Amino acid sequence: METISKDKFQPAQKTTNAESIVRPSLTYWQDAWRRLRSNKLAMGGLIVLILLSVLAVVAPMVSKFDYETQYLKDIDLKPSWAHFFGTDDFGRDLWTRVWWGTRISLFIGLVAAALDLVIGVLYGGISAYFGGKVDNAMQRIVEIIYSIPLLLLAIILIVFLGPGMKSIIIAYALTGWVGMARLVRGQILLVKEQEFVLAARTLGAKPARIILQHLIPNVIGLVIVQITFIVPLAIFFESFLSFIGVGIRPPMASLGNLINDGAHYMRYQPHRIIFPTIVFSLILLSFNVLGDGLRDALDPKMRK
Amino acid sequence: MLKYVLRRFIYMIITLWVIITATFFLMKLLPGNPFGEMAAKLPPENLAILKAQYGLDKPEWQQYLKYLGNVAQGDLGVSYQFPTRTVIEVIKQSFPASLELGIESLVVAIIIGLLLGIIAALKHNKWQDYSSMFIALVGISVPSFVVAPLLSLYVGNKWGILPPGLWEGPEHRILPALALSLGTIAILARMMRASMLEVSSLDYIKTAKSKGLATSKIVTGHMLRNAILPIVTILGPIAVNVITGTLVVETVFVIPGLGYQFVSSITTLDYTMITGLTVFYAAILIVVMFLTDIAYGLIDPRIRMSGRR
Repeated sequence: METISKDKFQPAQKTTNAESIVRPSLTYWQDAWRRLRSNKLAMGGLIVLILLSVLAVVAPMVSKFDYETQYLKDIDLKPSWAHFFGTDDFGRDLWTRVWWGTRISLFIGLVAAALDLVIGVLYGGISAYFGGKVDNAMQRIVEIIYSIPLLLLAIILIVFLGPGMKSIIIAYALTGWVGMARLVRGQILLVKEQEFVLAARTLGAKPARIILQHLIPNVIGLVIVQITFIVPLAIFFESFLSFIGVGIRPPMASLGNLINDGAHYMRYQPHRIIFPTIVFSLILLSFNVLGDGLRDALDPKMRK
Repeated sequence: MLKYVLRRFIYMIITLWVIITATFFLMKLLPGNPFGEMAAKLPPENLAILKAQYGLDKPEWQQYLKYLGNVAQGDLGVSYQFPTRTVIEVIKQSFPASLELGIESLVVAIIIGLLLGIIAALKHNKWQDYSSMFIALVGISVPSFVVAPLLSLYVGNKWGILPPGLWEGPEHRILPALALSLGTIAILARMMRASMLEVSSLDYIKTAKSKGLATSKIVTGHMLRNAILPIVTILGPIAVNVITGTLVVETVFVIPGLGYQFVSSITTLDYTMITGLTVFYAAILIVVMFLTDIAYGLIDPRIRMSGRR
């Protein structure tokens, strides 16, 4: 038998560090943002939304006109360099009014979404976390409110409360949160029974840590997506109410009452309906596109 | 199953009761006098007679019970603006037009919406998919109160192809039905596409493909059947969509339906009419939701099992 000298055995040289991870690991949000960025449609929606919001805030501030002063010499003007969107039958500058209306609509959408968020997450969270009898009772209430037709309830509420922004928001908040509460409850119920929560509990994590570190991050994506669908819904809600005459009252502008006004005059002054319609549709379109994109981006199951 | 139906039925009754109660107490909160400004000039005896005639002299809980009883019997009160007309008469008179419009728009929406959804799913990520989904997005983003005036103006007035308003011959049906169906088309198309895509990745479709079935057979015989089931769940939202749509579309096209009545009673502040019609609409919606739940429970056993818990 041939002997093998010991010096033939040498530890292999480390040539590559194949074990180490070259790319930086991405957090959930970085990953979601990366995925969202590659979705051109959603990014388009986001950019349009940012643009519209900036215009809604800035345009009324820098405009020479305000939303309510009437210039009776300048009624029914076509769009021009002085009045980008023309004027209405009281000589009010439509450029200013449309952006005021956008401001109002966005404001209502955001406030409604915020109320939905707070009430819905709290209600759904409590219901799911405590479970058992509490959950049962809370869910019966939800089921009843859920089957009350929101819009009809809102119409009677507003007819009786008197039209205005406050009534619209109250009416929306009273019934709108139910969808969010159901969503949050469902998701928390799903998550809290999963192994990683059990593992955390076994390792001795406190309830606060479980809620903050494990439950909330798993719900928050869904909640954000839901918000991007609630905001346009609330905006639609306001516009619809304004259109049938119980929403925002003139002289205050809202996209709904601008469209309603425009519909009356559109045979002779089409510009009066076209501009508010375009802005309104762009808002709804962008929110919907963004919502779709976010849903794809934030869903952990889509992670590759 | 019977237990499930019963449960749903009880919810339906409770919801209706909540709405009726809410409308009753909102009516009570209303400032002003039910007999109008003239009442201040009436001598107190006459006012007392009037109050007794309408049952307003009784305590509120009795009035409330009476109102509940009346509603249960289908008596929704008398219009404030037109004291000769009861709310139920108005409903009888104008609901048929609304119902017809609603059904026509639903038929249009189901045909177009499902077709768009199916095409989009079969041509997933091709131009047909993108253009169908674009149409659906437009349907969601451009509400009926924008579409209806535009259709009336351009197709009706400027081009003169179809009548811009009124409710007479069959040609008067086309534009309103189209305007009303757009939102529903969008909902249906998106839902159907998602549903079809989900079904198309299932194993039994692969089996059907690998045994050499023609695509048309796979689609009609295997995919559609299962894909169409979830559509039942969105009947509720669709009913809401159609009803809110009729409020706008009937106003724009001057159709003598219930939606038109409702909007005009809002502008004239005809409170009994508003509450009466709200209760009526709510009843329709709640019944639709109830039927939806039942239908879905019938189709999908998982739902009714989860309802039992």
